[in-house]
Amino acid sequence: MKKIIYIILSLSFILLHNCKEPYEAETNTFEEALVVESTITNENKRQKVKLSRVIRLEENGINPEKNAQVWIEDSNNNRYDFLETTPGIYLSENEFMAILNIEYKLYINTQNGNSYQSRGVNLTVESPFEELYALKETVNEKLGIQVYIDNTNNNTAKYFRYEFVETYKIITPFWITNEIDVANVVYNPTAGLGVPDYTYDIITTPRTEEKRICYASNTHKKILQTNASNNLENNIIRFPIRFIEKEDAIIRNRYSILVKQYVQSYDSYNFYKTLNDLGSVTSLISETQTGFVQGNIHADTKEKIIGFFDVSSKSEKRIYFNYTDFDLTKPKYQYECKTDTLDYDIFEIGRNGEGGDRTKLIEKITGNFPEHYPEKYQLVNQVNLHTYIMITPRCGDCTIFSSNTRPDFWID
Amino acid sequence: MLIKQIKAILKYLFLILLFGISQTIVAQEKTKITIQFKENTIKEVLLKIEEKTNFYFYFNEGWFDDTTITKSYVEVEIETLLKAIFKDKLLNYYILDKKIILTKNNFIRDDLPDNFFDIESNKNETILSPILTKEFVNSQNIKDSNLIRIGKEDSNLSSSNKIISGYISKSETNTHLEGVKVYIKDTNIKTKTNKKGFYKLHVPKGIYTIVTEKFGLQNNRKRIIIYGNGTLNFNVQEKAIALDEVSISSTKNDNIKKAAIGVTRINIKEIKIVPAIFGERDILKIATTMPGIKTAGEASMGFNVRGGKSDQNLIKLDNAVIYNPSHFFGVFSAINPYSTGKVSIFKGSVPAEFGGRLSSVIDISTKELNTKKFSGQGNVGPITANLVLEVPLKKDKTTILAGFRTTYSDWILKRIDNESVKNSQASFFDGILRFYSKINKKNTLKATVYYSKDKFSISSDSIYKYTNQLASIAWYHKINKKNKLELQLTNSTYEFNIVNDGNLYKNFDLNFSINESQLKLKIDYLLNKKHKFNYGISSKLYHIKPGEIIPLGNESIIESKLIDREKALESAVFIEDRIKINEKLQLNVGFRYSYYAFLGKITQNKYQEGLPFGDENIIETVAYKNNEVVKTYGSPEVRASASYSFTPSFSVKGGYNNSTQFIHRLSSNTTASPIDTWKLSNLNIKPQKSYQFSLGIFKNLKEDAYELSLEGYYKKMKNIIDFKTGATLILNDNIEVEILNGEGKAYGLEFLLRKTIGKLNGWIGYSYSKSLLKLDSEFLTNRVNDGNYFPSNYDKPHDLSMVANYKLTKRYSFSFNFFYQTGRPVTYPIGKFEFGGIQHVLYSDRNKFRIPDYYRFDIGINIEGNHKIKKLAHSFWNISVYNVLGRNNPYSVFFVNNKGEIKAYQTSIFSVPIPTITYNFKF
Repeated sequence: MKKIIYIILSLSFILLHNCKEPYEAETNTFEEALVVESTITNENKRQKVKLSRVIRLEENGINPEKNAQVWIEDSNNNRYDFLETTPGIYLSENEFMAILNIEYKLYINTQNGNSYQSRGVNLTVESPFEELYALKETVNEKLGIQVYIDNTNNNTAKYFRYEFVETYKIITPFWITNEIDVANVVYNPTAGLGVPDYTYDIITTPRTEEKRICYASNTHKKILQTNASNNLENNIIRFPIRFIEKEDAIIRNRYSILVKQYVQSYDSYNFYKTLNDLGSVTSLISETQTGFVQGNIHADTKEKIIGFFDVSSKSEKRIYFNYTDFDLTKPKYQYECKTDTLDYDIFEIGRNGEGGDRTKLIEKITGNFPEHYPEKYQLVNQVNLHTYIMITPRCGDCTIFSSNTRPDFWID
Repeated sequence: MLIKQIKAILKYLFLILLFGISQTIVAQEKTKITIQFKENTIKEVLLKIEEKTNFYFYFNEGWFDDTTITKSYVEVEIETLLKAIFKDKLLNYYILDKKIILTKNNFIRDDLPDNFFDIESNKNETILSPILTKEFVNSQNIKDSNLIRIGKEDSNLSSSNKIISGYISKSETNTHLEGVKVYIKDTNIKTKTNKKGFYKLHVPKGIYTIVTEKFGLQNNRKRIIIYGNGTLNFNVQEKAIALDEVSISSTKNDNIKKAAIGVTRINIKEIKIVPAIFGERDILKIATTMPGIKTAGEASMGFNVRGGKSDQNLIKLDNAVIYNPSHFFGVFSAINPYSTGKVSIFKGSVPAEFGGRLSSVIDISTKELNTKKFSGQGNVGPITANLVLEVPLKKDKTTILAGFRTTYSDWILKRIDNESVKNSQASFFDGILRFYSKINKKNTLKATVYYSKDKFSISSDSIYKYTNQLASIAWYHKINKKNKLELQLTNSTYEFNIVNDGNLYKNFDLNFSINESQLKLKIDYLLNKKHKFNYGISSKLYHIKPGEIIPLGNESIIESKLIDREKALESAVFIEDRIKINEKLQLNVGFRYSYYAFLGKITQNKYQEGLPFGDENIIETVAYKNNEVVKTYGSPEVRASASYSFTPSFSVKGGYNNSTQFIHRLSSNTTASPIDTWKLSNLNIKPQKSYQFSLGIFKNLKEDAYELSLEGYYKKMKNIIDFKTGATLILNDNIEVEILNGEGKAYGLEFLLRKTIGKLNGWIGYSYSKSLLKLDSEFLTNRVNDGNYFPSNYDKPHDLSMVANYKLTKRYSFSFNFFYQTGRPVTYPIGKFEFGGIQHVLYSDRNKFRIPDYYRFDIGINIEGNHKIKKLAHSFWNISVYNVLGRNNPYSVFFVNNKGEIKAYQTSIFSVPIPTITYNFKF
């Protein structure tokens, strides 16, 4: 009897506790919808409107909305037409800037014949931030550099959205003087006891292209907002923008951050905020209320449309710093560097059945062998006529992952 | 043979006894007494005589009235004195040695009539029999108090017929009634009242039943003993007046006549038959099977009544509010089934004495206590054990009930060989103490103390606890025949606590508590048969500690935070009149005025008018002093209903009800959870309001064996609290910023067929209902689904429940349940899109989709223990299988975003049949 009760109980409790199981969600729930992303600013430039379509949950990527007719009208009856420059990206034909006390409206006609328009939106108050600075700090028990902004304009701007782009210099830890390449490759599939074998000539030429010093840029992928309404005179002091741990390789050399500030309206602030909140992981304590996030653009039909047409006053600032400014030690290079000495004359099969040095060497030099070496290894040194020291590609060539063009704004 | 012998012995004993008595009387001395009385009552007179002589009186104080005697007697014999004293009184006396026995009406004879033992032999002669104990013995059904004594017996047996005369009046109006037939049952003696309402009958001595009869009036029957000439007046009521105010279920076809509409009553007896999960009989669960009441499936807390939110139900246990009447996330209700008497659910007409919640009042009361003898009841099930004892402290006056229920699930969980189960905890207990004391005829005292505690952990590092504490005391006082007073003092507390103790850096202790104390005075005033009033006043003080989070340990990075405490006073005056216009039409008219004051000490934000609550619109933050009134709300409420009976078994009823609610549960989840916090209306959160119209037809069939009803309702709600998309609720200082005030609309049709008697009994309930919500604003963020009405989280249009029990023999009975509900609405992710360089999930309009429908079938068998009289305890076995079909009913559907891949999951609570055996006993 006892046993039976045990069984019943364990059964029920397992059910109670292991009750989560995959569920065949209805797949026909997908709804077509246009996604509109546009913030026009008080900067005189070709303004941008980005159009895409919602994709299915199981899909990935972006589905750009092509061939749409896009224009903005203002309350002074000016019309600004937009042209599609890349799929889904529409730039204004001419440069223009948003001006205070003028109402702007976005119009879109898509290729399927639907029309959309936004509510009238006014440019938000200008409130350029004064200070952008970095301090050495410990955040979440980790030492690093914290980038802050201060905005003490004492005006009516209350809602802010920030974007930042960081750019940093990369110097490869190995100085490569010669490029290495192969010629006259002969492929012999049966030689070497069934393992393919190659014979080839090795050519080295002095490096001419800059592959040692590069610059990389990251645009942050996060909605970063703050609101100053609870603060004294709507001031923002020490709003954290970016924290970089002291080991982060991006500060191994000179680092620069450009912070863009958009002054938002109540509606645009809340639209971005809600999107952001919905993206956050739900916790057990409080489930976030999910639902459709209503923007300020509507269709002429009852169709759903996601997005916001924001007219925002923008300001930006850039700073530069080096780890030495904060008495930090130099972080490690972002990639692990391993040298490998390979002898062309060794072609016996390796212990694990892999090709001999000769095979490895050609694979590393060409970088055409995705399963082993997808990138071209760099020549560190030639020991003798047939022995070469090769280095992990990214340790000798920064152009693989970044650009060797020095940005126009860069100040060393 | 045996009987004859006994009769013989009796006769012998009786004769000896009487003979002995006669002897002593003869031997008695005749003493002379001198005594004087001055405004002395009869009692004082008798005591004086006792003082002066060596006689002892034996009497019942209740026989004496307030008349006094002022007179002097000199040298009189005791007999003369007594004769003088009792001359005009309905009292006889009998002197036995030094004892004087007083009797009312009866004259004690010291001889037996000749025919006493052989009445049958003298059948044909009209012999006047004196009225003696023998007849009392024969008339078994009649208690002495029910008998009306007429006249005073004298020792003269000769005068044959006695004259009974009297006056018949109508009790509602006190006017005399003409032409009422008055007769003595089983005889030919009859008459009618004259124009002035008088009657006169000639009746021989004896015990009879006298009956009055007239069309349209209630028949009046009285058992009478005729000793001599006398009068008997009747106060006759109009037919079919239901006097019973306490329990409707005891009166037949009340469901037809009473004006109240949308009232469901469940008697504890009905639930014994219903198969239950883990064998736990659960009166609240049964109540929710009635049409119009919906739960979010099994193991869910709270329920939705007529399209209202789950926080809109006022759940009371012996007058005190119980905030979370459930254990184990709602698998069991926290009300001990053995201590419970009945549950009344008011979902339509809410009596004016109740208020403060929009949807319903669920009034649970502890059973009437057994004041006669020690008794108990209990059960042993697979998960819980329960014992309830009733201990009379003073027979017929004072009783105490103690109930305790606990689970040994923790002990079992530890023994289960499964890692995830082993580390979880789930335990609860609840205890109740009920005290009943009938102080005297006019005063009764009832008190209850209740405590329940739940503790569970889902993951190994967090422990959730919650407790309910209630205390209530009520004093019932009968002021006079027409006025009754009831004074209640109650206090309720609900608390929960979450301790997270697994992640070094995120350890915390989070607390919440709500406490309320209420004082209520209610007076019932029965003006006459037409008007029955009740009125009163109540006042309730709330204290809420909305939350405090404390980091645990030095390593924790959790910041400690304390949200301002809240305080408010909710008061009300109410009056209700139950009016009976005539035989067919009854009305209930009630009025309630609620007055609410939100009190300091607190800081409140003031927002710019015309703009939505948002941090950017705060004009100023005001700090209020302790007990300073921050904001008041007053609200008149009407509670009216009427019924019109076309026939005694068919009626139509209608009602209108509005109410106001000042306290709100903050829950963005579909189902209520034990860790939802409560919030008081304040400067920025307005009280919720509802207005309900209901209409129903009621029909009883086959002499009330079947009750059939069809009710419809339409309800409008205002200021319903909902939340913005993306709202977070816990430990939020400015919760009003996240709140959306919506308009609710609910309507439905409810059908119920109930059979309460016979071998097959049970009910079938079906309802079709809609519950809609509208969140509209000129500001985009405060608008949901384009500002159109959309289905609320608990909109489940079709709801069918069948509960049936078939009693095969006295020992075996079978029962089954079947439930079906439309799946509840859910918001689905319907696609993905990129915005600001990040991928987001696109959600459908709120509650656009539904989870699959819910259905469940349970069966049960009750086997009663054998009915040996001498058995110590009466017992029965209950074998039941819950969810026989093994339906995997989804409890909730949720979505997890795992690196951009959205996966849907469902949770279900009991996806396989669950058999249970329970042993129940009673002694």
